[in-house]
Amino acid sequence: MAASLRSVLQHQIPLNSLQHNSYTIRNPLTWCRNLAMTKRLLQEDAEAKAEDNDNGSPSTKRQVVDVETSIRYLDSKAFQQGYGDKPVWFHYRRNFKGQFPPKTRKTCIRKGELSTSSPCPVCRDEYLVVDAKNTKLLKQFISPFSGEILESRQTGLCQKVQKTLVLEVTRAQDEGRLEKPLPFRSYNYDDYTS
Amino acid sequence: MAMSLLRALAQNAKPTIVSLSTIATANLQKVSANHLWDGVTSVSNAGKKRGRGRNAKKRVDLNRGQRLGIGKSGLVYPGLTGPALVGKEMLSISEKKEGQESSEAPRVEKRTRFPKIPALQRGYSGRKFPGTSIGPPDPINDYEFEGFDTRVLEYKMVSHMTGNLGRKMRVSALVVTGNGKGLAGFAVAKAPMGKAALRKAKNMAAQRLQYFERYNDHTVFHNFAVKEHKTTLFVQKMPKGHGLVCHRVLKTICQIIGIEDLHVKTEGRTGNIQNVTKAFFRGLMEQETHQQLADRMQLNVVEYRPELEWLPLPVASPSCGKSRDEPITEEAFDFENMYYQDGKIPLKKQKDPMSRYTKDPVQWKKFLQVHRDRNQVMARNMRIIHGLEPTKEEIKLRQKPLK
Amino acid sequence: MAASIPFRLQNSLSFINETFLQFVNLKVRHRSFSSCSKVLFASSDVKAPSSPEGNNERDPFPMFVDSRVQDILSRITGFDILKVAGPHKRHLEKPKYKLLTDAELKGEMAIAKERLSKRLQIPPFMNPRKPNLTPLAVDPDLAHFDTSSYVFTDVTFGIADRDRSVVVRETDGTLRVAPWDVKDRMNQIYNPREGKEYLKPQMFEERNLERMISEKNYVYILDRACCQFEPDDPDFIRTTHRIYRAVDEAGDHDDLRSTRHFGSLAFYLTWHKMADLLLLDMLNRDLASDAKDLVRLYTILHPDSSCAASLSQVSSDSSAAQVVQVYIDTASTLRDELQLALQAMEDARKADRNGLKK
Repeated sequence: MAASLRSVLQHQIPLNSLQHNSYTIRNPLTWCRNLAMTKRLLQEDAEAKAEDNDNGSPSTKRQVVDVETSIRYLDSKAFQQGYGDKPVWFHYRRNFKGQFPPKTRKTCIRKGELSTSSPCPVCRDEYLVVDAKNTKLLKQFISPFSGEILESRQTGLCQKVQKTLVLEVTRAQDEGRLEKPLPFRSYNYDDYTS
Repeated sequence: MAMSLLRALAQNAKPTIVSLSTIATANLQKVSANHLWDGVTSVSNAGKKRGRGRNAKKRVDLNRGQRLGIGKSGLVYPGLTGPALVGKEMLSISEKKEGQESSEAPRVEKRTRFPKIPALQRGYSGRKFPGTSIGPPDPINDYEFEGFDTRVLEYKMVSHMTGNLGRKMRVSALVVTGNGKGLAGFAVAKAPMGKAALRKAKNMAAQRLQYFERYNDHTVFHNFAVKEHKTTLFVQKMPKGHGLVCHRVLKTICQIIGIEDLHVKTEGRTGNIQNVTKAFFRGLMEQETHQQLADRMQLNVVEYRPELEWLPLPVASPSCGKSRDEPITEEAFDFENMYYQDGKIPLKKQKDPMSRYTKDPVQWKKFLQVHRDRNQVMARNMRIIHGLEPTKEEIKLRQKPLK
Repeated sequence: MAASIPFRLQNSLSFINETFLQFVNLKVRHRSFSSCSKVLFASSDVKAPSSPEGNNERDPFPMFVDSRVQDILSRITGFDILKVAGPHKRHLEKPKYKLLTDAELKGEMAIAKERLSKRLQIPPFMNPRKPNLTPLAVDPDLAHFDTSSYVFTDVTFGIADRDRSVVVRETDGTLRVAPWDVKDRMNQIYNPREGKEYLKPQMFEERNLERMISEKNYVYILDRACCQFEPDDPDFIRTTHRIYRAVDEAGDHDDLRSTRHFGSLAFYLTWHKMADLLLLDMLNRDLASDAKDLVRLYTILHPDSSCAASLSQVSSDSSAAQVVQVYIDTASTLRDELQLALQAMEDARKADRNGLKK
C-alpha cells in the first residue's frame, strides 16, 4: 500500500503540470491513472515489495507451531517461569468499558497476523496450541470441580479459540484423554434372562 | 517577565559572550544568579503560613545535559577543561585527545509517566489507587510480616476549614492487610501527603489484625446478613469452585483474608466503602462455627454434598460425646435461614426465566430458532471427530440437483 | 412420514409388512450421503464373533444371576462408602446442612448406605450375542425398488429397548430382523439413554485403550463401557475382558474394590480359571474370608473340577486356610507363591493372637 502510494505521488507532479494546468492541487487518492500507467505502476509496486523483502524487515506473520512442540513447551521451565502454577488465562485482563464485560471478540488473528493489541490468552502465545493431545492446556480451561468448560467471559478467549476448545475437548473425551462425567447405569437382570 | 528573566539566566550561565541591550546589561551585571533565582522562587513569610510555599517555582538546573567547556568540536580549554600549566609552560587551546569522554553528560533517563503494572495489581480502574497492592506492612521490632499483602480500598481527599489557611486538604486512605490464611485487619489514616497516608494506614492495619475462621479454608460457615448504618450485606456460603461474586471491595477483602467462594448481595449505601468494610469484618467476626453450633444446640451438624451423592457426613458433633434426644420439630427450620436477625428472611423473588422471550414476539421467534438448533453444534463436533462431516467439495456436489 | 400412528406389535411378524409401522427414513441419496450410509451399514453383515476362550459353549449368565454367586461377589467387593460416593464431577450445587440427633443421623446413614449399595450392582456377565440371519420373509417383487434398505421401528410407548422390534427391508426384497448394531442405533434415536453416544467413541479402539490402560484409568473405562454398550455386545465383552486381564497382570485388583466392577473381575477370572493372582492379592492383604469366598465361587462355577470334589469332603465351616489349601493342592498354577502367602498370613495371625494374649 505504502509503496503504491509512493509511486503514485512521484508520478503525479509531472502529469499534472503537463495535462491539467488549471488544477494546481489535487488529492492524490482521487487521482485516476491512465491505462498506460497501470502496468508501470504495478511493476514498480512489485519492485518496491521485493526491496522491502530484501531489507529483511521482520515479518508480522505468526509462527505456526505443531502440537508436539506445544506439549514440550507446557512441560518446560520457560512456561513455568512465564505463567507459574496459575492457568494461562489467570493474568489476562480484558479491556472494556463499564461494569459488565461484553462478548469476547470474534478472532484475534486475521490473515495470519494479530489484528488486535490485546490478543486473548491463547492467541498471545504462539506456543499454546489447542489440540486434543495437549491435555495439559485443555485442563486449564475446564473447571476442576464441575468438569465443565469455563465460559469465554471468564477466561477471555476469543470466540474462534473457544469454539476450537469445545471441539478439542470433545475429541479428547472421545479418545479417552480427558474424563467425562458419566451417569450411573442400572441393570434389570430379568431383561437378559431370555 | 519571568520567562525573559529565565532566558537571560540561561544565557548568563553559558560561557558564551552575549550582546545584550544596554538596559539589561546594566541590571544583569549587578545581580548574581542566586539573587535572580530568589526573585522567582521565594514566597513571602505571610504566604508561607497560608501554604503558598508549596506551589512556588523550583530552581531549574539549566546546565542539565551539558558541561561547561565541552562541546562538539572537542577543543581543550586550559584552565576550564584541562590543566592550565604543564611545568611552567602555559598551554593554549588545543585539539581533543583520544580517549576523552564524550562531550555530553549522560542524559538523565526520563522516567515513564505510567510504569507498567501487572494486571492483577492494577486496581479497579485506570491509574487510581483503590484496588492496588502496596506491599506488606513495615516490620515491627524484627517481626517481618511474611506472606502479607496490603490493598487500598479507598483513597480520597478530605478537607476541613481553618481560620488561617482556609480549606485545608488531606488524604484519607482505607487499606486492608492480611496473609490470605484468615488473618486480616483494616485501618483508615489521614495525612497531608498520599504516600504518608497509605503508609500510616498500612501500619495501623497491621496492628489491628483479626483472625477469621474459615470453613475448609475456602468459605464462610453460614449465610448471614449484617448492617452498618444504611449499608446491608447479605452473605451466602458457596461451594468450592464458585468463586467470589460480590462488591469489588468485598472481593479484595476476601482475597486478602483467604476466602475463595462467596456470594454477597449489597444493599443500601454501597458506595460508602468504610461502612461496607466495617460491616463485612463485623459479620465475619460474629460467625458461629459448626462446632459452636453443635455445642449450643447439642445436635450433630450434618453436611450433604452433591459431589458425594448427598451422603450425610457429620462435620461437628457435641463435645460432650452425645446429642440430645429430642430432634428439631420446627417445620420451617432451615440452616440456610438460621442466622438472619429477628426471624426476617431475605426475599428471593422468583423470576420466570422465560419472561424475556415470551413478552416480545421477535425474541420468542429467536428463542424458537435457538431451541431448534440447540444440539447442532455438538452434533457437528461429533461428526467432525468421527470424520463424517462432508468436505467443501462434497457440499458443493450435494447442492447440485439429482439426475 | 405418513404412518406415524403408534400401535402395539402383534405376535405374527408377517404383519410388519403392512404400512402401519413407524417409518424410518433411511432412504438416502447415494451420492451425497455415501460416507454416512457406508458407516450406517458397515457392520450389518457381521459374522458371529469367534470365541477366543474355550469356555464359550457354556452360558455364564444363569450362573451369574444365581443368588449364591451374587452373595459371594457382593461380599468380596467390599463397601467403602466414601469410595462408592467418591467425589464425582457434576454441576455445582450448594451443600445442604441439617441438625440431627444421634438416632436421626444413624437413620440417615442407613438410608444413604441402602441407596449407595445399589451403586455396586454388577453389570451382567454374558456371552456375546449372536446375529439372527434367517430372513422373516422374501418378496422378490420388492427387489430393487430402491437403492437403500428400509428400517422399520416399533416406537410404541413403554417398550423396553431389548423387546423393541426393528426390522429391515433390504434392497433385494428380503425382510430381516435388524442386525444388533442397527437395533442399538434405532433405540438410541427413539429412546435415547444418557451417557450413550450414537457413534462408538474412539476410546474403545485398541490404540486408545492401550494408552488408557498404561495410565491405569480402569474404572473410568469400565464405567464408560457400561454406559455405551449392552452387556452382551461383543465390544463390551472384548473391552471389559481386556481390562480385567490388564488389572490382573498389573496386580491392581485393589483399584476395583468398592466399585461395581470387582465382582465382574472376580467372576471373569474364576470362570476362566485364572484367579490365582487375585487369590494371592487377597492373601497378601490379609483378606482370609474373601479368599475362602473366592474358592467357594470356583467350586460353584466349576462343579466338575477336582477342587470341587475334594472340597466337598471338607466340612463347610472349616477355616479359610484349610479351604485355600485345598485349592492350592488341586487347582492352582502358582502353587509356591500361594503357599508362601498363605503361610505368611497364618504366621501374622498367630503373632497377633499371641500379642493380644500377652
